[in-house]
Formats: sequence, C-alpha cells, structure tokens
Amino acid sequence: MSACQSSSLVSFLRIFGPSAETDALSDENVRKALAEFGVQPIVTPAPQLEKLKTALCGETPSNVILTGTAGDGKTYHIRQLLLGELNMAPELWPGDAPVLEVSLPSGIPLRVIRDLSELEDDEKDAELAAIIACLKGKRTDVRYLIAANDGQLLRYFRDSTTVGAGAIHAELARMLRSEVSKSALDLVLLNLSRSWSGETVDKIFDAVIDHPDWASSCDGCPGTGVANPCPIRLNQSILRGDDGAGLNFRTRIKDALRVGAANDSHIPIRYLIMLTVNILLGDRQVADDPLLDCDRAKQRAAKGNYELCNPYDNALGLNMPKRQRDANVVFSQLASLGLGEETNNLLDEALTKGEPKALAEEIFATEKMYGERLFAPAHHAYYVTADRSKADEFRGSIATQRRRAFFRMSASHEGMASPWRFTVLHHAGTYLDVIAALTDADANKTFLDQITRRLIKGLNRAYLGMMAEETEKLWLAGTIGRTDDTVGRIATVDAIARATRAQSIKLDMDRGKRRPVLLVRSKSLDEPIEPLELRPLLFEYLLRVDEGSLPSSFSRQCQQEVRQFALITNAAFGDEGDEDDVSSVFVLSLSATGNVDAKTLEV
Amino acid sequence: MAEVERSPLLVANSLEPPRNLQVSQIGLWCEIPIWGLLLYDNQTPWLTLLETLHICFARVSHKKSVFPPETSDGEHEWINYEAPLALGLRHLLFEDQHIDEIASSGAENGTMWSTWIAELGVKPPVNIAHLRKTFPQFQDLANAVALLRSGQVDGNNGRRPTSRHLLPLGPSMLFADVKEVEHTSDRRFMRRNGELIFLMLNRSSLRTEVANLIQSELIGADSPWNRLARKLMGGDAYEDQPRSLNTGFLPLAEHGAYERLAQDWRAILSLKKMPVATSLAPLARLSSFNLLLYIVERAVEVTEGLGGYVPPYVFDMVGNTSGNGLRKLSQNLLQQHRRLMPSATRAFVETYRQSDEWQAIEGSDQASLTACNRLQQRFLWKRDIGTDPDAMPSPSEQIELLINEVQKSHSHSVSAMYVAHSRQIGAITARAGVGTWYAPNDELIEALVLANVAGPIELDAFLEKLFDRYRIVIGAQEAMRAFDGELPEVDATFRENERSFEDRLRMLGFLERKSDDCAFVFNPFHPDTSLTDGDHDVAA
Repeated sequence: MSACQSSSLVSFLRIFGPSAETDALSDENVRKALAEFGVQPIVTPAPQLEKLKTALCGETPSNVILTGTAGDGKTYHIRQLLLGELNMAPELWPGDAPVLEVSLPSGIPLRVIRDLSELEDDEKDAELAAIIACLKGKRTDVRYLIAANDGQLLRYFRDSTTVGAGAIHAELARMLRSEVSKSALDLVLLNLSRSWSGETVDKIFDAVIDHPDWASSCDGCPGTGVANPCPIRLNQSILRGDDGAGLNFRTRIKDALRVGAANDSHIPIRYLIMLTVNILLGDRQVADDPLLDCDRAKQRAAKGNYELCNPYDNALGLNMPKRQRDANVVFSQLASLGLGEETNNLLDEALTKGEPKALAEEIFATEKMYGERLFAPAHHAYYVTADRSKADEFRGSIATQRRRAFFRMSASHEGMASPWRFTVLHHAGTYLDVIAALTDADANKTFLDQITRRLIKGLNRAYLGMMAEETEKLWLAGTIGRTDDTVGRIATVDAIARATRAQSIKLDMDRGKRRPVLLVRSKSLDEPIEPLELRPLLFEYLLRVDEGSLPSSFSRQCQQEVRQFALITNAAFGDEGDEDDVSSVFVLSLSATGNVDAKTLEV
Repeated sequence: MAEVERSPLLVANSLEPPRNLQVSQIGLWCEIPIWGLLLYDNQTPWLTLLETLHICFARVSHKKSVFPPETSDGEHEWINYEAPLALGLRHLLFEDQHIDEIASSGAENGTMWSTWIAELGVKPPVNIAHLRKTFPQFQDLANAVALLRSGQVDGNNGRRPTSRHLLPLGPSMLFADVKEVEHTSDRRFMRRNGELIFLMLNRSSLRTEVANLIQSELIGADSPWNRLARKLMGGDAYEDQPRSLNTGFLPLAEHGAYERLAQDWRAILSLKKMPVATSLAPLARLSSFNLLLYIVERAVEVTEGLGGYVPPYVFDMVGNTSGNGLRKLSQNLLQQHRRLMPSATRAFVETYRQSDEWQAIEGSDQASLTACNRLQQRFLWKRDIGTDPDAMPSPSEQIELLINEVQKSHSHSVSAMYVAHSRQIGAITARAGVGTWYAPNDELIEALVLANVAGPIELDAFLEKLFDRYRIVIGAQEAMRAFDGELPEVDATFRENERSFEDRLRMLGFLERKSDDCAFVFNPFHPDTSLTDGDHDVAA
C-alpha cells in the first residue's frame, strides 16, 4: 500500500457527524471548514425560501417571523434572501448592528432581526412597540423580519409589560399550536420545523452521497479490492442504491422520518445531514469518536471488520454510546421504532430458515457484505453446531439482520410480511399509503373507504368495550357521566353514518398537511366538529383494535384521545337544539353476529 | 356582681353566627370559630358537592334565586333547604333485587309483571299503576332502571340505600340523605361540608356568574336522565319531604379562598364542549381541594396573622418510594400542613389567654369558678371542677388544660377531614412502610387542567399559574419562589419532577411539545381551542 492519504471530503464530512462540536456547528464554522479543506459546500435546500420571497417581495409585503429549532436554517434562509433576492452586498452580512435594515423591492424598509436571542434587553424593548404596531396592522411604513425559536418568541411577548404584547402573545401561541401561518395579524409565520418535505430529505441525501468532490478527493487512493472494499465507498453505494436492491434503504429512512413528522417529531436539516454522514462514516469501535476516517477505513478493510461500520446500524446511531444517542433527536426518534427487537414468526423464519424462499431471497440475494457474510458465522454456530454459549452472539446478530431486512425489503409486502412488522408500528405501511392517497390529486377512494371502515370498527370497539363488527356507523357509546370508566353501553346521540347524504365520516389531511385526520360532518350542525387527529400511534391503536386487540391493553394516551373525541363530538351533536319534547336515548348491546343492537328508550 | 352571659368566642373580623343556630350541642368550640360549621371527614367529596347542589336546587324549586340577595348589614346567611325523599325511585334503583333477574328470564310480559309485583309484597314501595302505564313492556322498565343505576356516584362505600345518590343532573335525580327506617335527615353522611361551599360561593364576587351557570347547566338543563328519572318516579314522589335543614356558620365575610373556589366553579361549568355529567367529578375534586387550601390558609392566619408563610404543596410526580426525588420533601410538607391545625386551635386559646377579659379573671374573687364559667361560655367546654374551693384548679391551670385539650387529635376533627379528603380526591398517596405524601393521581391533574387552562398556554406559564393560585410546586422555578431562593432539594430533582409532570400531561392528552423550547398545555374542552376564522396556510 502506498502512503496513507486522507480524502479531504471525508475530513470535511466528519465535522457534520455526531459529536459535541456539531451542536455548536454554525454557519460560520462550516465556512471555515470549507476554506480549510478546500471542498465545495453541501448545497442544502431552503424549503421556505419561496414563501419568504412571496411574503416580502411583493407589492404589499407582510411582516415575517421565521421560527424553528436550532439547525433548521433560519439564518441560512435570511442570508439567501438578503444576498440573493434583495441584492445586499456580501460584506454587509451579517453586520454589527443587532438589527439590520434593508430596502424591499416595494421601497418599504425591512428591519431584520437575525436572532432574537442575540438582542440585549434594552434593544429588544426599543423595537417592541414598533413590532406590536406592525403586527396589528397599525403601521405599514416599515416591515419586520424576525428569526427566533418558538419558546423564545413567546417569552419575548409574554415577559413584556408593553400594551398589546399580551394579545400578540396569545395569538402567536394559538398560531404555533394550531400550526397555521396566517391569522388576523399582519404576519406570515413560517415555522421551519413544521414543514415536512420528502424532497428536502432527498436533496440532502443527494448532496452528501453525490457530492461533486468524491471522485477527486479519493483519486490516488489505492482503494481496495472487491473482497475487502473501502467501507466508506461501500456504504455510499448501498445508500445510493447501486447494488440492485434499488432505493429501499433510502426510501425506508424517508418513510420512517415521515412517520416521525406525523408524530410531531421534527428533524432539523442539520440533523438530516448528520444522519447521512453517520450512515456513511459510522464506526462503533471508539466511543468518543464514532466516525471513520480514511486510516481507520483502511484498517477495517484490511482486517475485514465490517461489522463495525454496518450502515443499517449506523442509521440508528448504534455506533454511539447510548446516552449520546438518546440525546440526539434523529437517533432517538428512529430508536423509538423498536427495530431489532420487534419481529414475528414469518419474518424470523425467513431470516433463519430461508422459508418462504422468495422472501429470504429478496433479503439476502443482494448486498452480501452486511447480510449473508455477517450473519453466517453466528447462524452456523447456533443452528449447526448448536453451541449454547453462542446464544448471546446470535441474539445480537439476528437483531442486526432484522434491522437490515427492514431497510431492504420492498414495501409491497402486506400483512405479516410487511417490513413494518419489524417495528412497533405494524401498520405504518398502511399509514403511509393513506397519506399518499390523501395527497394525490386522484385519491384512491376505495382504499380510503376501506381504511375508514376499519377505523370506525376500531372506535366502536374502543367505546363499547365489546367486539362489535359495525363499520358503517359510529356509536359514541359511553356511560352517563363518570370519568373513570371509559367503556359504556349508552348513547345519547344516534349513530353517525359513514356515508349518507346528511352525514359523513371521512379521512382527510389536517391543516398543516402533516397527518391524516378523521373528519365527521353532519348537515344538522352549524359548526364543524373537531376532527380526530390520527397520529401514527393512534392509527396503530385503532387498527390493532380493529384486528382484535383489547382496547385497554395498548396505550393510555390513545384511550384518552379517543375518549376526548367522543365527548367533544357528543357535545357538538347534543346542542342540536331540539324543540320537541320527545327524545330518546339508546341502550346498546351486541347480537350474536357482532352487530350493534340499539334499543331506544323514550325519555 | 352580675355576670354578663358571654357568647362563644369569635376570631377577629368574624361574622356573628346566625341567631337561630343551635351551638349548645357542640362539645368544644375551637375549630368552628376558625373554619366554620362544619368540616366533616365522613362526608366524601361527592356528597359535599351534592349537598351544595341540594341547596341550589331547593331554592330554585321555591322560586328563589340560586344565591340569596345580598344583605346590606353583613348579616350571616340563614338558608332553609330540603331534598325530595323519592322513596319509590330509590327502591327501584338501590334496593330492588328482582328486576334484572325477571327481565332476563325471557318470560312473557304479563308474567314478568306479576312475578315482580308479587315480590314487592303487600305494601309496595312503588306506584305500580303508574309504572305499568308508563312502561307497558317490563323490559323497558328494566332497561330504564339499569340505565339510571349506572349514574350512581360514590358507589364504593357500601352505604345504606338511603345514602346512595345519583349524578345530580336534574331535580328528579336528587335524594335526601336520611335514616333507613324513619326517613329523617340525620346528617350522618351529609354534614355541612357542602353548606360551607355554598356559603363561600355566595360570598364570592363571582356569585352571579356562578349562579347563572348552575342554572343553565344543571337546574334548567332538561337532561334526558332527569326526564327518565321523572318517568320512573311519577308525580307523587314530591309529596313526602323530610324536615328541612338549615345552613351553618362560615366565620369570614370575605376570603381569597372563596374567590379561588368560585373561579374554579366558573371555569369548569363553562366548558361547553364537555357534557356536564362528566364535569361534575372534577368539580367535586376541586371543591374539596379548595377546602384543603382554605383549611391551611386559615390555620396560618390564626397562628401567624395575615401574611404568614403558607407551606407550599410540593407535588411529587415521579412517585416512586425510593429516597430520591421529592417524596421526602413532600412528606415533610404534608406533616407541616397537618401540624398547622392543632397550632391554630392552640393559638386561638392563647390569644384569649392574653386578652384583657381573661387577665381580669385571674386576679378576681372566686377566680376558679368564674374561670370555669367563662371558659364554658367562651369555648363551650364543660368541666366539673367540684365544689370545694380549696381543691378547685386555678384559672391558669384550667386554661392550660384547655390548651392541651384543643391540640389533641379528636375523631372527626378538621385534621381528620383534611386527610380523608386529600386521599379521596387523589392529592395524597399512602404506601405501607413508606408514609403519606402529596403525589396527585391522574384525575386530580385532569381537574387542574380543566379549571386552569383556556387557550393553549406554555408549560412554564401553566406551572406558574398553579403556583400563583394554589401554591403548588412542581418545577424548579416555582420551588425558588416558594422557598425564597433556597432550594431544599437539588435543582435537577425538580427538573426531573417537571419532566415527569410533562409526561403525565401528555399521556392524559393535554400537552403537545412543539420543540425543545416550547410545550403547550391545552384544554380540548375549552371553546378557545378551535381554530377561528382567518386561519389558513400560505399557498406553497
């Protein structure tokens, strides 16, 4: 081997990996590193840039507040806007003054607060009165662009005694909670941590995997042979999808992140980059330094220690110590899926016995390095030599294979063979299909209706505490009033029909377009009813109950959400304003076929 | 020298008890002048709420307003009320053993009726003719009875059938709490806790609003369950009434505790999106919680005067029995709270000992006898000191004995009520071998959210509000305020406590964490939570 040579790109990418420094990683540090290593920058998208331009660069600009957590790219967005659209001279950025002032295309001045937390108290107070006036629409001679974390933003107004701050605070709290960007205020609130975009994730993957400097920086490296390839390049090709198993790895990661987003767990752009870098460079040998560099990569290749840089395990951050992993938002989110522990007989037999053949082939035929090659020794020791002392090793090994299988299997499998059966969310595949169906222009109505029926059955069972088979009507069953027991047989409101002229129960997307909701509509009501938000866990709960699980054996939180929905919907129908004195209540019972029998009782 | 007959001693700023109130039956007058007549341990939180509502319903049924009109001279209220006996309905709901069995026997309708009538015996407690006419099908009767039975509250007590109650959703669902045989009110389980709540609400500044809500949500609400109860009962149920009761004594005309109580009532009864039948349970819990705070606050006022230090309520959320966490601190504070009550009664007597009136006796002739009489008049404390002047205890000896007496733990004392209610509302947890401390259960946490959260509010603002209103300490910020900057436990322990609280709130469906920096507590039953007009998203 010729003298060790380090790829400058790899050294550059390492700074984006998981370490203490990354938390302090800022725009400025990145630019320094770019200069040091002489590579091109990672082109990250600014997903809200268009909306920012629309809000500020038209005839009648609004005020804009950019909010999101650290690493979401607030500063990045502002810089792109100022240096790009507004043609500010680069040397003026970022400037010394806490508040920058520039001119908008419409001629109105724009006061830019790059980071609210950087302002001193007196500076904050000085601006506050003007900001309040602008947000209320009382002043239009100046506009504001403010970047702040959501908690900080709320505290700014809450801690102030200036007149009008309290009302602004209440309105912003409402907007943040309901996740809307516009309201009665003269404001566009862009929350960078509330926008999911599959394209953003793809762009970040591409920016790292297909970085233009790979070829040049690895040029001259003797590389390694086919039998023991460079682990970095190997991981790169797996993530890119070169090996014939297509793009399942990437897609599955995107799906997992999508499910997390539906669960309000947002991953800032900085952490998406960290995830990608960790998949490529993750190495579990040294706890303090969990990333490969070129030296170590060569050692791994030479000794064949590929199990230390398994990309499927790296995706879950298993190369880091547990404490660090738990504190990291993207790895803790992925860890919550329970990969490696969850499984069922069908899938495990495919892994260990090779049956059914088609499934086992799909899992093991391609990408042999981390699959067959890694699994064979432990499998042999356990099954063939029946060495009991190797049991622990086998357990670890099969967990690794389950994780790998999750990332490699096609999404087309259904039921017990779905890759999502390797996670705690068995029905996540269906969940993603629902989201896809709802966001498509021509939604597959039959599919959505099918799922709606299953959800209705799940709800009926949860409310009645009985194995009802009703899928066309929703009974808001309960007790007369006590709060402790959620299950009951009494309904004060007639069942709500799934699909009639007067009523409907349908799946729809919520306002922020991030998760499905179950929408109940009735012509007899003036006000719309609060929909049931179907977070992944609740969707899972209802489908499992539909399939036969006992409602009380799953999740307290889901039971509470479902109960609240029943009470609120009941209250909405209860106000129907009946002028007639005669009214009835329904006593529900289950027939032998599982249908719900409702006896009317006149009251 | 003619002795002026003294009346029982009152605290400073106290109202005079109502003239018609019979105090002569009371054994020791030291708790009542401080807290009122009466805080009773065997009256559960549900029965407390029921008692309050009995008064409200009774007034409206007599065409009066929910709360009496204000008197200009600050005279103590004297309110008369009663609840229906409804013996027939009670029999059906709480005593009858046969309806269910007969209804599920599958026999023919006429047979079912005759079987049941036979079981009722020679003097049936119900109006059979009315029932046959109203429910031609026996099965319907059985269903109606089963339905109403499911509305029973506080059922885990195994009480006599004449002390079982339903949710008070209408006038036909109320029952007077009476003896089994003579059907007279014996105040065995309903013993004035609810009357005190009524008086407190009456004296708060929110009385009109609360009255309107009680009227609209309960009394005038025409609940279907009430209609059903009326159908079962028939008209003649109102003919028998037990003798009416009168409200008791609440010493202070104004107090922060009354305002806090009224605010909680207003908040809960205003939750339009929650059926009132479901909101009565949290209302009962919070009413009792407010009584507990009142007890502690009054005790501090009597012992230290206004502005005294009220020990906070440190809620342990982690809830394990190990030594870590806030359990020990919380246990400590519970004990401090409990010690406040005998301290207060002691202070009550001590203050008198320092008074001119008592000092005058010490040096007078026949001091012992005068002292004995005076103590009897002032404290309703009867002692026999004999007739031999030489053997009589001196005034200072007597008052010393009295001070010891008031600090002893008596059964049914305010202290007993404090512990009983704390346990029943889920404010305290007791573990064998470990002790008792403030570790709230889910229902109490839910009640606190329902009463204190309108639109979405940040978590730390919610914690601040809980401290400002109830002196509840969960996180480090409030601990700093409560303990004057000197944290009794490490900062990290309080932070862990706060995180556990957050988890509980999330599990109950009341919290959404938006980011590391921002978590919202929200009340899904409050009208503010819906989106309003003008909300929409920017087009992409």
